[in-house]
Amino acid sequence: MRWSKGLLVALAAIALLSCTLLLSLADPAKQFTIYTPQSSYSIEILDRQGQAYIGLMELLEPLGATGMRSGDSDWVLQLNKAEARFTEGKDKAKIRGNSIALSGNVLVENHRVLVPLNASFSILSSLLHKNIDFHPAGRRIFVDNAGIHFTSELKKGEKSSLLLNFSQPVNPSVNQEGNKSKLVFKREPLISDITNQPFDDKAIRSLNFSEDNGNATITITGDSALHVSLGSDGKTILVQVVQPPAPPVASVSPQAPAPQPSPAPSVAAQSSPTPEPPIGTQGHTPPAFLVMIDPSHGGDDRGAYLADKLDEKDLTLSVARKLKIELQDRGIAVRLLRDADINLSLEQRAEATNAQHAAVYVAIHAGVSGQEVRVYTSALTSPSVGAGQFLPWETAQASSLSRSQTLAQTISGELRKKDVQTALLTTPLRPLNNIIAPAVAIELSSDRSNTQDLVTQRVQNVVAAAVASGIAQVHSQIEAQK
Amino acid sequence: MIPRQFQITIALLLVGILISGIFIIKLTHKEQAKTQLEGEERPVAPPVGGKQEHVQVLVAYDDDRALRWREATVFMPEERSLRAKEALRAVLAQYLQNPSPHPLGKGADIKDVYLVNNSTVVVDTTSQFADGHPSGILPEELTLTSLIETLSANIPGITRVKFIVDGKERETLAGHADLMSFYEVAAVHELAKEFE
Repeated sequence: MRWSKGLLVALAAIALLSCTLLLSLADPAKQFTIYTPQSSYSIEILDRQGQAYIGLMELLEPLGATGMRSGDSDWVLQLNKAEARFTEGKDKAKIRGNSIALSGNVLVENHRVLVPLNASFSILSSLLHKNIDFHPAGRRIFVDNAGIHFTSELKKGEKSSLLLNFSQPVNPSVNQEGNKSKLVFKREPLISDITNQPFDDKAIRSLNFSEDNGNATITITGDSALHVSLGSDGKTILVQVVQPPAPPVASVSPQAPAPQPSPAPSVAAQSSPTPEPPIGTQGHTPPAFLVMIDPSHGGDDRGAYLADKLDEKDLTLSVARKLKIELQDRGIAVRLLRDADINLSLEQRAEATNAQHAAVYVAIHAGVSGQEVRVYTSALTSPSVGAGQFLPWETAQASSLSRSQTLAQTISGELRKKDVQTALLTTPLRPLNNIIAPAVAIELSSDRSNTQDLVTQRVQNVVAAAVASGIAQVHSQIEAQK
Repeated sequence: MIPRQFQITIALLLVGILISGIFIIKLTHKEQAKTQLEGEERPVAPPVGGKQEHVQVLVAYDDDRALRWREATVFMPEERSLRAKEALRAVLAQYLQNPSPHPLGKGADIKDVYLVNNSTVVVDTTSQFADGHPSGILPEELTLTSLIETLSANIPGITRVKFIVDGKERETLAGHADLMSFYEVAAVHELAKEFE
């Protein structure tokens, strides 16, 4: 009996261990990164019929594509006066009057047009008439010779160091894995002809360049743990061997390492045995600071009619996607409440936000009443009276109202810094009152005669960047308080 | 044989009758169109008694994102719920004129106003009021604020207001402003200050 009990416990432990191992090995979300000389952005890769697909508008909208409309099964879009026509179920598209093979059928899901990932090269080169460099294995594509190059210089000595020089400023995230330092470039169009460069040095052994899942990675292997520091101009990275620390004389709690005097901002000086995964890809552990973006309306709810073939629901989604990228660039975990043209009730939006324990909720709206960006908080005034652990649904926001106002003021300040006309207001907008976390609504507004301004990438990018900066500031303040 | 002068006279009379007939038909059509237009755009004149009074109405101005008090002259009955209805219609009349400081859809009107315990007001609007309302956070907020503030100014003692549309509850006015909750008059008063 005792033996069978022990066996059961052992089996349970093995099962638990296997599950943990499987979860840790789970693939991160597949993504495809597009680099242009002005910006870069990543889009989700979907698996359809055993083939990799991407959203057509997600690929082309950041480049300025507009006016997608459908006939029965035809979808037409404009980009720089060039027209492209896609037909559902067909494996060819008509771009600038020429027939282009797509290597797979065009799919349509909830008014979202999907095209094979491998067709991105022919679509972009036909539409843009610019040089396109496609790296299918690394899921990266470079438009109009966008690219950052680097050189490496090894300085041998008692304390060897490796100096990396980049043609443009970079800001990689650094993961330390034992004696390897991994520099992951998520936004930078880093390219290299060299994949593996061995060094004749005991301290720093090799440099490896790889591309995977829309990112570029430089891996430097040393004899022991390495210290990575970024130069003040962002164009140089210095990699040095960390001197082995003296053995501990007493048990020390795992607090943050003591700051090291260094003129250059240190990217990652920690040498923890298990590297922290990037925020947003932490498996099943919810991130500590999650921003929930609500692209308002969607599906049958078109929102405000802004202009010919432009509904509020489409604009809010476009801005929300830009804001997501901006926040991810700042290392902040973020989710969109909808990433397609789907119906989502106001209750569902509030429930999902509260269930995910979002740290911040941002609703995106657009209108045609005045040329400005308005930042709203809830118009609630009375404090929420809860019963035990429960909060009244109609006034759930009351407990976070002061933090919402702080967030709104910070975002408004960032918008003003970018010379955007802005107004701070309160509103009885749904579902702000039902959100537990600090919640704001951002409304991009234009006069009826200037609605095309709202569609321009420049306006959307500026607003997304300012809102992201505001949220990042609040995030920093919270971290500092911790 | 009919004399020639008789023939000419009869012909002239027939032509005259024809021209008069066409003119009358045209006039009738014009009047009908005018009556129909007025019926669609403006609230029907109140079938109530009462005396003519000057009432304060808070009017929204879209161009400069403002709410301003204006004086309107309307027939105000004695009964409180009817007074509330007439005060609200005076606001809508401002919005339905052409040009309008804050355009609303044709047929926007107040069907009924119910007073509960003399402090809570339930306003029942026509479906055109909500269906034809311009969608947007700001225009919807301005409409509700102007109506609630006008109610508060003309019907002392009310503390809460709720809107229903064509006798039924509705989630939002036109996709944004909450119509499910009761509006606290004191909170709306603070809201209105943002647009002074």
